[in-house]
Parts: sequence; structure tokens; C-alpha cells
Amino acid sequence: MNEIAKVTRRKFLVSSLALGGAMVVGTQALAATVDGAPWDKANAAGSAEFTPWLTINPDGTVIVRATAVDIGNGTLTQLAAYVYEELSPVWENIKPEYASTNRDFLENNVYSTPGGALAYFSGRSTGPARMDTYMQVAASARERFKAAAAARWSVPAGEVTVKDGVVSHAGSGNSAQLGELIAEAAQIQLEQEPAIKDRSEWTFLGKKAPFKVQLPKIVNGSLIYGIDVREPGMVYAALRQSPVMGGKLKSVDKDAVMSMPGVLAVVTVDPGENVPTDLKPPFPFGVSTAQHAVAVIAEHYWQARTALDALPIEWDDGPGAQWKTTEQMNEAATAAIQQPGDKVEASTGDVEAMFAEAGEDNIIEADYLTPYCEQAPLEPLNGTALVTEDRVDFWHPSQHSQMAYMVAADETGMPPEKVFFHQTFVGGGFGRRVFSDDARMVVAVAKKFPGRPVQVIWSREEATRQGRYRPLMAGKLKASLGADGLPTALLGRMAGGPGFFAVGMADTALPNILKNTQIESQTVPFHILTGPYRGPGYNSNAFFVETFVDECAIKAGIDPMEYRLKLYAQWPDIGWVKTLEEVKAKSGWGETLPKGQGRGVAVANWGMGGKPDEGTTVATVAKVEVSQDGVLKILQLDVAFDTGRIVNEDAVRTELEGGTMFGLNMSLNEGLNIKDGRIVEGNFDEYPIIRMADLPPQINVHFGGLSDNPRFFEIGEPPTGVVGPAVGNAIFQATGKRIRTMPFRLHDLSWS
Amino acid sequence: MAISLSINGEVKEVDADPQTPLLWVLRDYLGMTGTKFGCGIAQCGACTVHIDGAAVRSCQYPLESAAGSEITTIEGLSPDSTHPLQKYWVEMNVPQCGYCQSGMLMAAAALLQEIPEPTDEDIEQYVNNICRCGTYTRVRAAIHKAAADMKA
Amino acid sequence: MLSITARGISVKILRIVAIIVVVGLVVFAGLAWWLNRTPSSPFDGEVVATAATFPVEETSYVARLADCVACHSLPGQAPFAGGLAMGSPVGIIYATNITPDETTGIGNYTLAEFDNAVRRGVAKDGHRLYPAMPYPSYAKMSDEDIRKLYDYFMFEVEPVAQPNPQSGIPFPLNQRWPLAFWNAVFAPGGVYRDNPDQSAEWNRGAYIVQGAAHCGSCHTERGLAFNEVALDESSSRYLAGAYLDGWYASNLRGNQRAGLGRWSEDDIIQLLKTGRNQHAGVFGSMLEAFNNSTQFFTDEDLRAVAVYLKSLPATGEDRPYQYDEATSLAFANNDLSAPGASLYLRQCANCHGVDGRGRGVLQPPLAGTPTVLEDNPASIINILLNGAGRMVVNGVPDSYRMTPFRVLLRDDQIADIATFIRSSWGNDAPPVTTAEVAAMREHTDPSSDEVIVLQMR
Ligand code: FES
Ligand code: FES
Repeated sequence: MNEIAKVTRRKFLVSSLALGGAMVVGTQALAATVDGAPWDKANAAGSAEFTPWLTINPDGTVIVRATAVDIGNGTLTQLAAYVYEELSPVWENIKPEYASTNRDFLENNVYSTPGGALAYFSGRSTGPARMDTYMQVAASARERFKAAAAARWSVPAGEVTVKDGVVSHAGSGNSAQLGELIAEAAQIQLEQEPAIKDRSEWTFLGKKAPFKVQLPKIVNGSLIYGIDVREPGMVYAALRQSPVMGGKLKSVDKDAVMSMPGVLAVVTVDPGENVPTDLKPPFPFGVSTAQHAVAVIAEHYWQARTALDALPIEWDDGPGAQWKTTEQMNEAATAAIQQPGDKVEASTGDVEAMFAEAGEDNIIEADYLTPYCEQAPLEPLNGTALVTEDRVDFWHPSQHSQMAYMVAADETGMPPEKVFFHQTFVGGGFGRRVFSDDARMVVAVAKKFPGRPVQVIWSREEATRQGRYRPLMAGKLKASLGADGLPTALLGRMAGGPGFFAVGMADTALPNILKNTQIESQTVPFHILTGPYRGPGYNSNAFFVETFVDECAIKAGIDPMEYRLKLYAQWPDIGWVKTLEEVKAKSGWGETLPKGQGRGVAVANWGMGGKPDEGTTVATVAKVEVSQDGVLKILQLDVAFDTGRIVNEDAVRTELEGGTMFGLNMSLNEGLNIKDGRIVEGNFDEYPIIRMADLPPQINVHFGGLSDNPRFFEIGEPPTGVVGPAVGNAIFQATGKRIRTMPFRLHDLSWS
Repeated sequence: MAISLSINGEVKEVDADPQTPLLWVLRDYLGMTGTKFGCGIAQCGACTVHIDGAAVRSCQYPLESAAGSEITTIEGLSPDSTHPLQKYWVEMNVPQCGYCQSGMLMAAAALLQEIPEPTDEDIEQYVNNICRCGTYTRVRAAIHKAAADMKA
Repeated sequence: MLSITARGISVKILRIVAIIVVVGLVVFAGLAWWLNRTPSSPFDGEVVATAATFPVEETSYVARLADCVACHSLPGQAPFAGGLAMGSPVGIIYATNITPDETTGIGNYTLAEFDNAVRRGVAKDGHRLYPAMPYPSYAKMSDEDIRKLYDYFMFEVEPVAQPNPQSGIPFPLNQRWPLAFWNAVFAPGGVYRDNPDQSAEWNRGAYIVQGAAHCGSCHTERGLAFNEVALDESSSRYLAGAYLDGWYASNLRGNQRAGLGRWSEDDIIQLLKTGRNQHAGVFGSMLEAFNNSTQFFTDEDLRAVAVYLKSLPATGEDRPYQYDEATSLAFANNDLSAPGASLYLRQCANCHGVDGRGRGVLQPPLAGTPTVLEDNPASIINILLNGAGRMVVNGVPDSYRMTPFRVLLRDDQIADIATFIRSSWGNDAPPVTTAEVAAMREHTDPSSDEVIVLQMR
């Protein structure tokens, strides 16, 4: 992080002389919020660019160049808040814009150096590294304003203050708006960069933040998402990819639809045609590989969609078709965890010896399974690209602007300096839009119809059946219990995939507490493509581990809450016990419940990487009711967390609420089926998403678990892993039925 | 064959197949992108608009049936984003990605016209939209607040 | 388990066939030899044609009328290569390869042998076809139409070498010869003869409905031995509606309530030509008959069919349907107290309306719709569970498909919605039970959201 800070400071100096055009004082009314289309804006006439990260207009508008994507998590607002804390302009005058990836490429990674591969990524977008960077940018601008004012009024710079957009000197009574001083201020070169404020000096951060800057445009429908881009001469494309992943196009009868209304062309995409470049993308290009596809291009989308449905296409399914049923794949994954895994994730002590010593009665073992899941962001995959002889323009709702930009250059072979990526707003991501296979497909289609902007829209069915899914995973856990009922040795195995995320099995607290641990993994070569999904790996492993811990508690005859308190007291990170104590107190744990009701708890950490005082720990208590004929109702959810400290209470609350609902839906409802190699489910009628009626009136988020450890970390992903096991454990309390596979809706929960 | 529609008080001519779903007429033929596409099968509610005051899902509403009705979209919910729902949506930080929110707002607005003081159950009945980000609890709270304001 | 497709033979009926077959084995063995002679055909001894004698428009039209493609082709596979599996508890029957392939198809059939298969249910080698093949209806087709059909399959269809799968029916049920008895009793045979008291149009309609189009195969109730209880208008049970494979093929007679009594000739024509009219839209097995057959009928033939159907008087107990405002008013007052009302509001009202009147012709009404009013609830349960397939009108796939709810809704919820619909807006059909929904869920699969077009060539 300091590394990053140093680099960025140098960057400011490099470009500190950059200055906008001739001095013209802007007159139009100030924009009170972010632009609906905040991308690739040139500096306004008369504006002064203090660094590529910060430009101030004569009218006092402060342009903050955001490197990271805002997918609804409030990135733009938070970056603005960092700037506000140091520079103190008028809040409404701060106007975030997306930092150009093209400029980043031309100017020696001026934007992507801090943050590296994750620079343009929607995740970790407001973390400590970025906070320091943006506060540094703002602090140095502030000092340059003070110096400029001091020179203008010939007073000591130390006596000049900047507050709410006004630069003033109390002694002389002089004052000026920020906008009036930009020309002079931008010329100033500081001997040394000022230190950024210490947390104790914050006046704005850490308090309840203002509403997200894009909200006024969301509530009147004027915010521009990728699918809302409307370029002159734009046409639409409807897409169909090989229904069996890895399959090939055998034949397509284009003539059958060419005479249908509005149809302009039928184009095909063959990944084999791509000529690889030597560009260095943030992730290897391999993750963005396209599938064989056919697209119908028409003047209007519904014309394209209708013609695509009518288009006779023959596919060669390829080897993927060997996977006839979901059961067959589940069995393959489950079989794999009965054998030692080929990759050892962690190994300490002698597990087998401990098991032998403990004896059968003190051994507990269980197998678990989680299915393929689709992120299903509500804005279906889409993008708009205009490919011409000498440039490529690409408007896209990406979760990683730089990856999408590089992919566009790679797919077209156009030199990156001639590729212009326009980051739009994003209708949800959850990991689906990171690897940029969608970006590649859009450009691959558009380059077959050059000269006009082509907007490619996945139908919901196409998006669901052509995902990059949360991998199918089977998990085995086996432990020996000591005299106190706590585990003395642990064997953990996971298998599935492909594209495997082991996060959360080996690097969580349990195996690191124990002296004897063996964690193994095994990839099963399924043809289904996988990718990040809110809390990759962790969202399966937290379910395995925390359901298993519950089973251990039951076997030991100890209350599951007390059991965890004892168990995790052995882990040096106090956040685990603190969050458990918090939900225990706030959820009414222990109060007796009527038959058919139950409480369950789970605790886990996202991002700790096996170390204490890292990542974010979340503990959740669920209170459920199961009717005798097996209908489940969630009555209450209490969530406590520890990420050390927080900088934006409401943003944290929002993410914990959203992440909990996401994890709840994942556990109750989500699961894709395979038939003859194809994904069966298409739309929300077959892939249910939780509704308001399925939830308790509120999700209780508690702040008492914070440890005040000097860190803050991701909040959106951690809650997804714990709510499932908490509900599953509650169902066991209510019905005596132990749930070891997702989704829960497939289990018969009836009791008598 | 041009069909004329009355949208947010303006009459617009559309030359499209009469069977085209209203959603695509709005978004594509008329460039009114505030109304969103989420599923196309009347499940998610992102495409909710008002037709003669009632909330309907425009992705399953044929153009030919919309002719002659009064259509209101998110762009026309209020002239200047001053509808109490819009106010509280912002104030209470309801949206996350925001993609479902045009539909949520239109469904909620129709509800408040039907039932000025809705119970939690009423809200669940009439605002049965999908929000993948999970803003449900805030949506519910904001509707209650707006209802209280409108009553006052 | 292989679940029964909409086009398969129903479980119950197959079981009965089985019984009949066994009985036949024991009792009538003596007559077997006599009955199993190859029947005679008017085309006996004709020299084998070497080229088509009729234009393809005419020959393919007869194939359209007879809807051969529906059973003898599979989606995405060569036309008429057979293979449609019909599940049953005694085993699986497959529709056969009827391409002109010499070895696996019917390439070496003479016209007479072809005629015996189509009109008499006897294959070249003398074995009897299962009555899943509607030869009792095809028997009414004219000699000329049989010539055209033969022409079409011999000279217009690509030969495809695809062996017929063995039927999965074990001995002794797999014995075909006893079916000869069945034929003797239930397949009187004989080409359609014009009724001199009726117009030429009526007669043409009767010829199509009873013959090639074999409407009775689904819409006429079957007897104990899988025999259609009537093959023409002489019986009031003809086309009076019947249950088959999870669907109730509705009453096509003049009944006011659940029949075509409230439909005009134009309504009937519009449905068969465009898949929809102000009263209903096609779904289930009729959707396939529409996609593959009826929409290709000429306007004259459609008119003739309508004239004939409208001539069939109401039968059995009948009463008029009267729309009732009460349900719409309840919704207007936000009264959702009726069981199923709130589910209807959330899942159905967007397209079918709180007034149950649907929207235009694209989204059909539920108020007063024959399939809703039918006492047998099979169709409404099935379509709620499994939705409808994609209608394809003149090659253009439909944008308004009925959603399957089998994943979103529990059996009791679907029963509630069905019961609500059957008792609202003046509808007065009996309630639907959770058990009925559960049973249907067991035996059916959801319809596909993907467009399925069976190619004829
Ligand atoms: S897009 Fe219309 S309900 Fe989903
Ligand atoms: S806010 Fe993202 S889908 Fe609702």
C-alpha cells in the first residue's frame, strides 16, 4: 500500500503542470450529481487538471476520475468522499467520472499502477490503498490552492484555509472560490507532498455518508446502463451460443430469415478466428474466450430476437454432451472426495493417527454438495461496439474496465491507442462481468458488421444458459472430537469445478486452530464454464465448514452457539468471538421456541487468507419456521461483522443487507441442472429469485462486532457465505433434518 | 403501419409490428430507456409502467393493446423527481445498482394510488418485483415513509 | 423415467390394449390365421411408379392434412426418420422410419402395401400396427389422396437409413397378430362417402375432420380397447371431448359451455389458421397440430372444417355461460380473500387481466374459455405446471408464451389458482385438488421455451 502511495505521488508531479484550454469562466448551472454517462470526458475549457485524477473547472466543479467501477456498491460516492475529506469543496460540486483506460495505456498506466491488476475492478474499489491515493490527490490540491492564494494575497500559506469550496485568509479578510484560483493553483509545484489526515482528524469519513451520487438519475430513469446506450445509426443483435459449452456450429440457414422485417445480417462467431495479441491484460485472455455463436443483426431488437428464434441452426455438441444428467455430475464430484485429492491445500500434524487414536465413536464425517449457480445480474449481458477501419468504440457495463478494454483490442487486433472503452453504469455484477467473455462476444459480433454501432443483447435465457458459473462443488469433512467435544483433527476435501475456488476451506479459522489438519482438493474436468460469483469458493466452503461445525456441536451435545464461542476463542482474531457474542445478544438466542421453529448460527471470514485480523468476519443468526407439510419461512435474520473499522456506515449496512439476501437466495433457490450437456434453466420461472414476501420485514445489521483493528476490507461478499448454513442449522433445530446440499427448496422439510 | 401512443401526456407515432412488446417499443423505437428489460416473461417487473393508472409489465404487453391508453413511464412519474417515493428512494439510499428501481418505483406508485396506507402484506402483494441486489427491506421502508407524507 | 409426451399413448389405454391382447391370445387363436391374411387393396397388382405423378404442392398438402410429421419426425432430426418414443407401463413404442430408405424405411413398399399400412394398419411383412397409428381414420381417405401421399413419401422425402428401435414391449404383449381381431372389430374401414343431404363444403369438411386430419383421435373418447367410440357425426359422442396424455382435448360440438357453441365459423377458422381467436389460443397437443398441420390448410378447407364442426349439435348436459362482474369488482376493491386470488394477481393478472378477459387475441381470456369450463381439469393443471410451447405462425415464433409454474409454485398453490380461475367471472367448473396437481406433476415435463419447427423436407 505504501508502495502504491509512493508511486502515485510521483505521478502527481509528473503531470502537475497539465492545464486546460484558455481561461473561460463557465456559466452553466452546476451539476449536483454524477453525469448519466460519466465516461471519456475531455477537460472542460478553462479547467485545470491538477493530476490525471483530479480536474477542477472554473465553476468550481471538481472532477474526480474514478478508476474502479461502481456496480451499485457506491464506489463513485466513496471516492468523492475521500476527496471531500481533504479538499473540502462544496459536496454537490464533486462530479466523479470514469478514468479513461485508453489514457491509462498511453500515459504509462497513470491510473492502473495503484491497485495493479485490480485497478479497474469493481471489487476492493474503495479499500485502504484507494483511500490513501484519493486523499493524497485531494490533500496536495488543497496545499496548492493555499500556496496560490498566499501568493495572490501575499500572506503566509499556513494561514490560508479551504472550506466548503472557499479559500480564505482570516487576517486579511481575503477570500475566493476554488474556481477562481485554479489556474494559479495548478501551476504550483509543492516541495513535498502533504501528509494525509489521520483517522482521528476526519470530519466527514466514518460518519453517515450522503446518498449515492447516481441516485437522482436512477429515480427518474436517466442513468445510462450498458443496455441504454443509444448511438446514432445503432443496430441490434440477438445472440445464440452453442447450447453445449465447447460445442461447434455445424450449419445455419441464414436465408431462412434474411427476408424477415428489419433483418440486416446473420453473423457467426468462431473463437478459432481470433488472432492472439501480445497485450498484457489484468487477467489472462483465456478467461474471456468466446464460444461458437450465431447472431442476427436487425434495425430493432425485437426483430433480431424474433428472427433468431426462427433461424434454423445445427450444432455439433462435442464432448460436453457426455454429461447426460445433473445426477451424473453430482456423483462424479462426490466420488472424487472419497479419494485423496491431487492438490494438498494445507497439511499439519498427523490426521490419520489422531483419527485412529480417537476411535470410531468420536469420529464424525459428512459429505456436502453445492450446485452450479448463475450470478443473474438483473441487467442482462450486453454491450455496444462500433468497429471501423481506424478505431473501435465500445460502450459496456463491465466490472473490470481495463480487462474489457484489452479484450476489445485483442479481439479486433486494433492498436490499444485506437480503442476507446466507455464504461457505462452496471445493472449488477456479482462476478459475472469480470472475466469479460461478454465483452469479447460483443466485439466479435460487432466486427462482423463494421461501420455501424451494434448493440448485442443476451436474452435472459441465453444469459442463464451461457454463464460463467459458481462451480459445482462436493465437500467432505471428517473430524475427531476430544473429551471436551471440540475437534482434535480435521480432514477436508473438496472436488468439482472446473475453475476451482478453494477459498474458505483451508484458509479459514478452523483448520488453522487445529494442530492436525489435512485439506485436499481435486478438480473434476466438467465442460461447464465457471467464474467468480459473490464470494467465490467461500460461498460453498463456508456452508460445508459451518454446517459441519454445527454437526460436531450436536454430536458433542453442546449448544451450537456455545460450541463456536469455545472453538473460535482459540483463534487469535477476537473478531470471531465478538461477532458471535453480538448476534447471540441481539438475536434472542436461547429463548425457547414453539415446535417447528428454530434458530441457527454460522460464522465465517472472507479474505483472511488463513491469517488473523485480516478480511471481514460475519456471524449470522437465522430464526426460521417450518410448517408440518414442509413450508419454510424465514422469521428473523441478525448479522454482526468485523472488518476492523468502517468509513461509511450506511454503505456497510447496505452491502450486508444485500449480501445476506443474495446468500439466502443462493441457499434456498439456486441450482442449475444439466441435460445432455446443456443447461436446463433459462429464465426466472425456472431459476427463482427471492421476493419481498419471502423475507422478514428487516435484516438486523449490528455493529457491535467491530474489533477496531486498524483495517477495513470488503463487505459485499462476506455475508453471502454464512446465511445459508445459519438457515440450514436452524432448519435442523426446527425439524431434526440436516441439510447438506443446496438448494434447500429441493429438500422435503415436512415433519410430524 | 404507424400506431399512435399516448405516453406521459405526449402522443407518439410508432411504426412497428403491432405484436411487438411495449417494452421494446419504448426502449428501442422511442429511445425511452428508463423502463428496463430484465426477463421478458413478466416475472421480474423491471419493465413496469402504468397503463390507464394500473401497473403492468410492458415486456408482456403487446403494442396493439396499448394503443388508445394513457401510458406513464418512469420518465413521467413526476416532472422533476419530486414524487415522495423518488424523494425517499434517494434520501434512504434505497437503490444499489438501481437497475430494478424504475420498475419498483412504478409498482409502488400504482400501489399508493390503490391503497394510500399499505400494510407490509399489501406491499408484498403489489410490489412483487425482483431486485437481485437485495434492496427489498429499504423499498418497503421507503414506501411506508412516502405513504405517510402523502397522507399528511 | 421416460415421461409420457403429449404425443404418446396414454398409460391407461395402453394397459387396456395389453389386456385385450392377452385375452385375444387365449380365446380367438383359431380365427387368427384367417384374419391375418394380407388384406386386399384397390391398388393390388399396380406396377411400381418410378416418378412422381402429382405436383409436390398437392402431395405435400395431403401429408400436411394427415400431419404425419407430428409423430414420424423428431426435432432437429431428418424428416420422417421416425423415433418418437411413446411411453407406457408395458414398454415403449416408437413411431417408425417412413422415409423411402430401402432397408430401414418404406422404400420397397408398393402402393398397395403402403395403402394397407395407412388405411388398414398392416405392414408390408404382414404384421399389424399398433393403433397409435390412426388408420381407422385414414381408412376414410380417398384413393387419390393415398396415391398422392405415396407419391410424396417415395419421391419428395429424402431416404434416411435409420433402423427402427425395437419396441420395449415384452412377450407375450409384443405379439402383433392379435391386433387383427381389434381391426376386425373396431376398424370398419371404407373410404368416406359423401352425404347427399349435405353441401359439398360440409362433405369436404367431414372428409378432412374424420379422415386425414383424424381429429377424433384426440377429441373423441376412447372405448375399453383404445377404440374411438365414434368415427363420425352419426354418434353424439363423436368429438365430444376426451382426455389423452395429460390434456383434455376439448368438446368440438355445439355445447355452449365447454364446446364451440359460442364460436362462429370465423372464430374456428381464425384459431386453426393463426393459433388464436377471441376465445382461446392453442396449447398442448393442439399447439403441435397447429404448428405442423392446420395453419397450412387452404382457406376453402378451413371453411369446410368450420362448417362441418358447427353442424355438430350440443351433446350431454349443457348450460349457457354468463360473464359475472363480481370477481373484477373484488379486485377493484383490493379484496384478495378468495383462495388463489392473490396468487392470480401476482402471477396471472398481468396477461389475463383482473377481469379474466385476456388482452386482444395474443393473451387469451380465462372467462368462459371452454378448456377452463371443462369438468375434467387436466388441461388447466397441465398448462399451469408446464406452460405452453412456442407457437410458430407463418414461420414467425410467437412473443407471448404461457409460463410454466412448476418450479415457482407448489401443488397446493397451483390447485388454488386453478380453482380460483374455474370459479371466477361466471366460470363454474369444479375445484381442483392438490392431489390432482401432484399426480400431473409426476407424469409430465415442462414445455420448452425454444422454438421447435418440424421440417417436412
Ligand atoms: S422484463 Fe418485464 S417483467 Fe421482467
Ligand atoms: S438495485 Fe440492483 S437489481 Fe435492484
